Amino acid sequence: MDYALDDRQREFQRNLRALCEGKIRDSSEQVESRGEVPMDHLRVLAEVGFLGLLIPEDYGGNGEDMICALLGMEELARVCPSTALVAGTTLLRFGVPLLRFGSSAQKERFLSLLTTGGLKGAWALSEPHGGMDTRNLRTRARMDGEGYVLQGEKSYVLNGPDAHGLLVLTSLEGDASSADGGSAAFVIAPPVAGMEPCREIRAVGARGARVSALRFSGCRLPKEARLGGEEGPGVEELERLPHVSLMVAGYAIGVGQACLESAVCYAKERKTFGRPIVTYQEIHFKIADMHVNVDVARQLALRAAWLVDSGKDASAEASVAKLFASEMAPECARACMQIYGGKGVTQGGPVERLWRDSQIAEVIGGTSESHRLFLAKEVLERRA
Amino acid sequence: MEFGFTEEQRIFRDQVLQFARKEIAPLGEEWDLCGEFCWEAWRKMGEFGLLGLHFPEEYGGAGADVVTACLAGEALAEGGADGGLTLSWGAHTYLCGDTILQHGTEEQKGRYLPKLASGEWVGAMGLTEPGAGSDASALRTTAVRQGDHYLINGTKMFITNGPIADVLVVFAVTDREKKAAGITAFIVEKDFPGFRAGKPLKKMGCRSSPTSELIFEDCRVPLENQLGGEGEGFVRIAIGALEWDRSALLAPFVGGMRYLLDLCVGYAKQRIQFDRPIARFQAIQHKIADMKVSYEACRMLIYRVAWCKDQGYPVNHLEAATAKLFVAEAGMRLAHEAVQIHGGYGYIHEYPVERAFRNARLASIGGGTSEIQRAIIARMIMNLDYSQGRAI
Repeated sequence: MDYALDDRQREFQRNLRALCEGKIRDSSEQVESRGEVPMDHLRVLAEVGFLGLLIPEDYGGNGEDMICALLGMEELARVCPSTALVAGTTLLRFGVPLLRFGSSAQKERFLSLLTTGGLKGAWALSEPHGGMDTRNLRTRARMDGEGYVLQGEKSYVLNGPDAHGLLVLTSLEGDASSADGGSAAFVIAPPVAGMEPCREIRAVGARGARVSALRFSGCRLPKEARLGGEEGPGVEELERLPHVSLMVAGYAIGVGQACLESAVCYAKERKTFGRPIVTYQEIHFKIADMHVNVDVARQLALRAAWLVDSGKDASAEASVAKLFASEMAPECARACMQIYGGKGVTQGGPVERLWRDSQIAEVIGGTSESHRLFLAKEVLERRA
Repeated sequence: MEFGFTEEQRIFRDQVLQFARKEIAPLGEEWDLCGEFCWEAWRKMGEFGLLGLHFPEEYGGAGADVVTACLAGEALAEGGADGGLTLSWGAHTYLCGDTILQHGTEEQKGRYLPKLASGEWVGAMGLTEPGAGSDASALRTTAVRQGDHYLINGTKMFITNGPIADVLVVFAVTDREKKAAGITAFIVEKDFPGFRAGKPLKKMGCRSSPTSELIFEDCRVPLENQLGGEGEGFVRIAIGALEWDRSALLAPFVGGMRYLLDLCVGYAKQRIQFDRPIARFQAIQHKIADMKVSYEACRMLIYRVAWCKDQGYPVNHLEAATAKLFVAEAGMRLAHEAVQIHGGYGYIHEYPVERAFRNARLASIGGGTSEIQRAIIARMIMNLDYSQGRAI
């Protein structure tokens, strides 16, 4: 047993934190107001090694572990949640499945670019008729000659409007012998004919991350575009990857930590009845609960990340971490807002953004409800 | 990082779990109902080697590390050991036994530890008083030196194992001026003149663990029974004991959560309503999922304190207080939901969830209330400089 980070992990954390404090924090307001994370952020994140995590040197990566990726998500979300989501999605929702299941040509093409910070990646799973119902995807891929033709619509695709690499999950139309051909994923380099982003939206939080629907109308893809080729993974296998849960957990931990820090700083400065409010027990208790929440979420996430790094099944543990972290972050934001009082509920004030950023964690990467159902199944069937 | 257990630890844990299921769990209900200590279970635990697990072998222990000690406590409760029994185990092994092990002289260790390890003697610790809980400066029990002995006067309150203890680590004021730094620890034997334990208190939960007042009326304690240095009683010894209170002593509460979760899973799958097992209803599934999350979180927190202790980190107040607070509150919520899942059956004595619900209430009171833990945490967090990294 060893609860401490090792030297490499600490060093990575230190370097990334320095980058966050020195560069990314200052531009976070601008990222939010412009509604875009600049490619320059991805380039510096590549330089510091974040975008090379988990990826072998053959593709320009550094092969470091999931624990580092989790620490990275936290550090980034602590200063700029939008950057965290854009970079995290690129590495963990696009990069990791590609690394795990992609052909060498696919990996060569996309990962080498990803590790230099030259690519935004996206993952398109949710559909307008329902996000969780992934066994019945209505976006379909039909075999056609030497390739596939995609038809349908994806919704809420993070990085959807400006992705350079896109994983899209579809159901497969079977041949004549089987009506249900299962599901598949395709890796695409937009722009491609027959696929266009549409209906761009802004989430209430992480507003610098661009989100849109994607319309596939007779989008023709060569067979080489199928992730992993003919034997490639289906939705179930891809969804079981724990990385996305940990990505959101790391995001929520970073936002929660930012709330805690902001609340402590303000409580020391703000005076009522002639003394700083940090001297009141009501404030102490809120701060204690915030700390416990963030600390517990971090421990749960680190353990799941460690399981990933040990090559063990971490799907239940990652789900536990995601569920807890995503629900504690809004609680922290609420406590922070309360400590700030009037200033806390001021539009454009120091807490508004934290509060908005905290809200989305319970929805992205699977709603809390879907994680509870998954966990209950694991426990009831005595797998966890 | 490494969150796994060694092969040896896993095997040992499984042995304790089997032992608890077979030998200990069946004794729980009866002794809870009559509210008395179960000597049969105690003897069995002594024979199994659980009463001085982490003592060195020369004192009758197994030299286990803290993580292993936590595993044992967790497995005991996961196997269904009654919360009263595990509470007595914690007070005996850690608050009394470990305190003597850490701070005792060779003579003291030789005299007390082997008998504590075998279970022949029962240990207790007396800190709390009728008017002093977490506020050490309010202690009123005094110890005055007279020649070759001390005279102790005062009353201790809510002392786990009080009525059955043979050996008690007791804290008394030796220099009122120095407040917390004027408190000294002593080892009191039950036969010392001037000492008696009060009648067992009737409690809401953990009823098979006897609790009472301790009354000292010119109790004569030989000089050689002073434990640690003068004035070290609170600042060094009690504070150290509280860390156990917030790790290994908590382990059975966490094991108990797993025990309840298992009971709920079993029950929810066989209880039929509206033509289907209630496990098929989302309302029940969500409760099960939340129990799982709480249980996993609690495990992470207690083993972190245990690991810190094994590393020899001198003070881990933040980690310990966090564990104590979270385990206590999560344990109560979980027990509440366990009763809820069991419905009417959860409300009657025959089902262990009823007992577990009453037992769970203690964790947010004993060993420092949740309010005290929050105060400790806040004080430490507010002193942190966030630019300089964090506690692990």
